[in-house]
Amino acid sequence: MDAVRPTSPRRVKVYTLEDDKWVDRGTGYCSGMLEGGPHFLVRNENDTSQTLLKATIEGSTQYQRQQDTLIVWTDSQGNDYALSFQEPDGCLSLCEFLINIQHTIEPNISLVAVVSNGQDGEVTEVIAGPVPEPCFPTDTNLSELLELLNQGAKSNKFKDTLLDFIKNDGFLTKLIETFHRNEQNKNLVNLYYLCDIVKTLVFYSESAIMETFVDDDAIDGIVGILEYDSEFPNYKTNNRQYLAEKTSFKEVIPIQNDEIKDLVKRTFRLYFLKDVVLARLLDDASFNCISTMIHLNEDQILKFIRLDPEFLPALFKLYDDINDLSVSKARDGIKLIHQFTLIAKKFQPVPRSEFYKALIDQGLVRLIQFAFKDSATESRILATELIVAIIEHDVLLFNKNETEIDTTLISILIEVLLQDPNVGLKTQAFEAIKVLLDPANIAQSTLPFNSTLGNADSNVDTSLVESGYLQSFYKGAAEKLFSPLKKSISSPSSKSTTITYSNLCELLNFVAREHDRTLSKTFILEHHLLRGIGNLHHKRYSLQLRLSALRCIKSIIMLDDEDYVRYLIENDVLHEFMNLLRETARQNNLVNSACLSVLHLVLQNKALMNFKALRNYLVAKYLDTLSLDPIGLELIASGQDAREESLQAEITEVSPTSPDIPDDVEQENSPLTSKNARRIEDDLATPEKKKKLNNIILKAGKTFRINNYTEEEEASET
Amino acid sequence: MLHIDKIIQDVRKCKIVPENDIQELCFLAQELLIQESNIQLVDPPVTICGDIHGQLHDLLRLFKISSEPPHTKYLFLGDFVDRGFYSLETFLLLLCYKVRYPDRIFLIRGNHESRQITSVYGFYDECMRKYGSANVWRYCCDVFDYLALGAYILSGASADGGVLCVHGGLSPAIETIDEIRLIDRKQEVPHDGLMCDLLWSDPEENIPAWAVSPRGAGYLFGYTETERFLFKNNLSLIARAHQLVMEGYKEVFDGGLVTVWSAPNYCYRCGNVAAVLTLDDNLNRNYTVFDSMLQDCSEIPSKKPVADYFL
Repeated sequence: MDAVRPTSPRRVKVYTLEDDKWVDRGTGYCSGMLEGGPHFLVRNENDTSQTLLKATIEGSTQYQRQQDTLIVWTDSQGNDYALSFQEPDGCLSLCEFLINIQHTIEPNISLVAVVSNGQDGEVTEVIAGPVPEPCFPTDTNLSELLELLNQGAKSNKFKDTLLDFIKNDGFLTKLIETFHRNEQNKNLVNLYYLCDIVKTLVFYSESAIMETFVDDDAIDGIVGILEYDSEFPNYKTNNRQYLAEKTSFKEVIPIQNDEIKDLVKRTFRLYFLKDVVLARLLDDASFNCISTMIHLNEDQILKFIRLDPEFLPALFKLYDDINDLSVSKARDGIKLIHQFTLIAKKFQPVPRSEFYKALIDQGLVRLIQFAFKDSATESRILATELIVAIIEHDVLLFNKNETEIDTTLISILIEVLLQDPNVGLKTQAFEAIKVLLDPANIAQSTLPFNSTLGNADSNVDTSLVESGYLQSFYKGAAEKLFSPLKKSISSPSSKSTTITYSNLCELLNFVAREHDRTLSKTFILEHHLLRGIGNLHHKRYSLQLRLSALRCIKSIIMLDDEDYVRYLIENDVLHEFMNLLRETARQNNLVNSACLSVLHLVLQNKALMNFKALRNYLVAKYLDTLSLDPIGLELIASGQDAREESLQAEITEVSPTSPDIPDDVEQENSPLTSKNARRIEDDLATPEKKKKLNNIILKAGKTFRINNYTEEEEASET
Repeated sequence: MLHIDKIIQDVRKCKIVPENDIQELCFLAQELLIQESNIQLVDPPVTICGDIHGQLHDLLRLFKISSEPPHTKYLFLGDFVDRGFYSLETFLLLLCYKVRYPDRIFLIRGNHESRQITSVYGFYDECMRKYGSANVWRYCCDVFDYLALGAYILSGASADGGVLCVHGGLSPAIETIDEIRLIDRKQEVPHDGLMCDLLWSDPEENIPAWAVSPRGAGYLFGYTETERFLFKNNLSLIARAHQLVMEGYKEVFDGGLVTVWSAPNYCYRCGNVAAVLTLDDNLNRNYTVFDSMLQDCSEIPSKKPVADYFL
C-alpha cells in the first residue's frame, strides 16, 4: 500500500454550524498533515501565519463527501465542519488523504459519498470504512461470515488477511469440515450459506484463492458445497459423483514429471469448475480469472510435451508396430494429440508453430498414416481435424520442401474426399484441401524449413514458393482430385454423390477464383471440367448438388473471363442450367431464386462484353425458357434495345475501352464482384499472360475458335 | 429410416442423438427448405417467436404455453443457437418438427445461423464438447444455408396489409419485398449487402432514415424509412427479433414494427421475460408473455462435462 504523505495546500472556504446555520469562517488553503497525528490544517489565504482550522482526524468520525467539492463531518465533541473546495480536484485529493489514513493510521474513521438517487433524496455509499476481520467458519456464524466476505471484497487489507487465512491457517479445511458436518446433520440453511460463501469467494476473482480450490484435498469439498444452491432449492447437482466416477485421467504415455502431472489434474479441475459447476454463475472477471489460469497451465504443459526428450518419441513409437493389444492405446494417442493440437490453437503464432513443428519432427505422420487406415471412423475424423488445425496455421509445416506440395498429405485427403463413406469426414477433407490450396495461406507461411529464405527477400520468395507449390499441384494431385467430374456417375442421387460432387464444385470454383488464372484456367479447360459441372445440373441429381453446380458456374461467369465465357457458349454448358430454370419457373423457391440470380447477374453487367455475349447466346438459344420469367423477359428486351441502339449509333460508335463494372451490380454479391473487379485489372496488366494462355490452349486442345466474336469486340478487349 | 418421433423424445430429454441420425435429419431438412421461398408465404393464424439462443427448456415451456406443434402453427425468427447451453438440442428439436410437420412450423435465418458467429458464441464449442468433433456442427451449418430469409403473412380474411417477418430488419438495398426473390440465399451470411442487412439491422427511434449500425453489420433504420417501406409494400407490420427486450416485446413506429424476444432470463441471468406474438386470421395481434421457470431437476441448465481427459 502507498505510504501516506501530507497533501499540497488546496483553496477552501471553511464553515462551522452554529444554531443550525452554516457560518463562513474564512477562505484559506487546506492541507492534510501527519505531524502530531493526522489532521486537516487550513491557513488563511491573506495571512499564512493565521490558522483558520486545525481538525484532528481520529476516532470513529464519519466524513461525508457531498457533490464534488464538499467534505462535511462532525467531530468527537459534536462540532460540525464543512470544507468547500474551489476545485473538485482539491476535494478529491483530500478525500484520498482520508482514505489512506483510514487504511493505515485510523482504521475506524470512514468516508462516505452522498449521492442523489433521482427523485427520492440521497443515499450514502461507503468509500472507506472500518475494515472487518475475517473469521473462521463454525456451525453458528455462517451468515455473519458471508456478510463479512461480501463487505470485505472492497478492501485490499481484508483480502490480504483472508488470503492468509486460506493459505496458512486452513480456512478451506475448516469450511469443508463444516460442510461435511452440516451435510450429515441435514442442516440445509447452513448448506446454502456455505454455497453462497464459496460463490462469493469465486467472485473475488483472485487466482490465489481459485488455486486453493483445485488442491487435491479441497476440490471434492468445494464442488460438494456448490451442489447446494439456494437458487434451485429443491434440487441438487451431482458434481462430486461426476468428478469421482465419470471422469478419468488417461495416460497414454505416463508422464514422469510429477509437477506436470499435478498441473494436468489441476487444469482439468479448473475446466470442470469453469464449464460445469460454475458455468451459469461466472461474471466476466471471474471467468477471465479462471481462463487465464488455465491458459498459463496449458502453456507449461505444452512446453513440457514439446521439450521432454521422452514423451513424444515414446508416443509416436506406438504407431510403429500395432497389434490387437496396442490398437486401443494407439487410438487414445490420436485423441491425445488431437486435444493438444486444439489447445495449441489458442496460443500465439510462435509457440504454436514451435509446438506443431515438434509434433511433425517427432513423427506425427506415423500417427496420421495409422489413423487413416484405422477402421474406427473416429480416428479418421480426429486425424483430419488435427491436420486442419495445423495447416490452417501454416500450410507448409507438413512439407519437407517448400516448393513442392507434399503429395502424401494431399493424396490422403483426396482419397478421403472421394472414397470415405463418412459424410462429415468428406467435408472435413474438403476443408483441409481448400486450406492447402489457398494462396493466401501459402503466402503467410512462416517457411520454417528453410532458413536461407531470409526476411529481406521474403516477398520475392513467397511468390516463387506459391507458384512452385501450385504448379506441382496441377502437375500431380489436381487430376486425381477432379477426375470424378469427367466420369459418369453410378448413383447420381445418393447422398454420398451429392456431398462429394458439391465439394468438388466448390473446390473448382475456388481454384478458378483464387489461383493464378493461367494455371487454373488451362487446367480446367483442358480437362473439360466445366462440361462436367454443366452436366451436374441435370435432374437425375439431387437439388442440393444441382444448386452447387449452379453456384460454381455463376462464380465462373463472375470472373468476366473471355476464355471461360467462350467455352461456356461453345460447349452449350448452360443447357442443363436452362432446363433447371424451366423446371422451377414460377415456383418461387430457393432453386428458382438461385437460377434467377444468374440471369440477374448477366442483366446487370450487360454493358460488359462477356456478359453481352452470354446474353446473346441465351436469348438466341433459350428464348422460350427465358420468356417464362420477368427477369428473362428483361434480358430479352435488353438484347433488342441494344440492337436498336447499335443500329442507330452505327456511325458514331466508339469502342469501350475498359470493362468497368457498373455501380449497380447486384448487392448481395458485392464481396465477389469487388474481387472480380480487381482481377480484371490484373488481367489487363499482363497481356502477355493472356497471349501465352491462348497459345497453350490452341496447341493443347484445339478447343477454341475465335470466329464467334466480331473483330470489333476483339479490339475492345485490349 | 429415421424415427423422427423418437428423436423428438430424446432431444426433449437432452439425450445424445447419434451423429448419423443428425446427418440424415439435416439432409431431409435441406430437401424441404430448398422448396421454400426467400420470403416464405405463411397463412395466419400463426404464432411468431423471437430469439431462443439454445435455451431448450424455455423453448419447451413456450410450447407448453402456446401448445405443442402441430396444434399451433409456428414461425421462428432465427437465432436458435449460441449463448445457451442447449443450442444443438434446440435446433434439432425445431428441425424435427419442421421435417415432421413442414406446414405447421417455419424457420427463418438469424444472424447467429452462421459458421463464423457460431464459432465464437458457443454452438461450435457445444458440438465439440458433446461429440468430440465438429461434424455435427458442420451438418447444422449446412442447413443454416438453406433457411429462408424471411416470411410474409397475408390474411385472406382481412383487407389490412400483410406482415413481413425477418430476423433483423430493413436494408437500404431494396424498396420492395419482391426484390428479395433474386438472392441466391444458399451461402454463408455475407458481411454486407441485402442478405446481411435483413439479418443484422435494427430499428432506431431517434433517427429518420439510415445510420451506421454499432454492430458492424446491417444498418439502423428509422421511422420514415419504415413508414415508406410499409406503405410501398402494403404492410401493416414488420415483426422482427434480434434485440433483447426486457418486457418480451416492444412495438415502435406507431405500431408499425415490433421486436419479439422469446428467451426468458437470457443467458440465465438477464432477468427479462419473453414473449410470442400470435396473429389471428385477421392479423390481430395477441402477445403472450412468459418467464423462465424450472419444472424439474434435469432442467438446471448446465454444460455437459467432458468425460475423458488427457490434459
